[in-house]
Amino acid sequence: MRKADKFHYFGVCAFLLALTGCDAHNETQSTPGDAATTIQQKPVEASATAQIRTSITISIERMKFQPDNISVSSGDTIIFVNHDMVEHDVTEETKHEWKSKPLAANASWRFVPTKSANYFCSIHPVMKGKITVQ
Amino acid sequence: MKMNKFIFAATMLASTYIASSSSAQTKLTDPEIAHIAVVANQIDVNAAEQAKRKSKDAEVTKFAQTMINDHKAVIDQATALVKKLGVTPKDNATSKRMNSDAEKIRKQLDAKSGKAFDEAYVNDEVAYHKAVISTIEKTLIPQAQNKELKDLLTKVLPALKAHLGHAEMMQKRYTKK
Repeated sequence: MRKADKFHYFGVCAFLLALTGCDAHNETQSTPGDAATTIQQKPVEASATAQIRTSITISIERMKFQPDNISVSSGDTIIFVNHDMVEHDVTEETKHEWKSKPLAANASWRFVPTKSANYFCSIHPVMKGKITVQ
Repeated sequence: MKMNKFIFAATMLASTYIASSSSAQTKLTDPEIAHIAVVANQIDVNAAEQAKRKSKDAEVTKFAQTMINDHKAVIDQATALVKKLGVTPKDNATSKRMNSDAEKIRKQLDAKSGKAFDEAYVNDEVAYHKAVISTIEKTLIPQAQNKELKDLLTKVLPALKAHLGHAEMMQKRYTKK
């Protein structure tokens, strides 16, 4: 292969590799506090086995979990973000099998559920949500 | 449904906490509204502190602590807003009446103990939150001139409604036979 052809070949390969890198970090941003679009789905990791894990944001605002009913895949991360002025927590409802610490205004909590669960805010027990792990 | 004398008295008193005082005045000014907002929250903090002192029930004291934390957070927001706006909250007939009515309830509750206190406190919390929600929705928000004050009052409503829901859940413990 001539020198010029080699440079051309490697240049094309580098360009294609760069394109592949950009796609793996594509994400959808939403404005914090906008309840209608608070779900962020962001591929955070691509392993050699091509398993993509997703993080999903649940906004806690106006004394509600938004969205209050979600389905996730095993290994996905849920990020609860408190947009209210009062403290909240996130607690598994039936046996309190898992629980966040109290979340101050603007604090967040990352959680990887291993099974489906109903949850609530133990500080304000009228606030409820549901996670389904598929 | 049989209603005991205390629930009736608390409901009637709570419903007059603000409504009757407001009707005695012409339109409220923003400094008056700001003062009413702070007083309304402070009244519930005081009630909760009384409950924490007197109750031995874990659920009641946990609820009371939530009232203290949440209403103090609202007071902080209201205080920060009036400072930002350069508004001095103004005492008025409504806020004076609220305080004197609250004092009467505190004395009535002070005379009680044990389960009788717990039930009376929870019943008062239901009545009080209903009255405050109604007044904010029907009087304070419509009459507030400043948009940020109006927005803060609107922002507080969901918390008050959650408190009401929580108090009503607890109330069921005392109405079960």
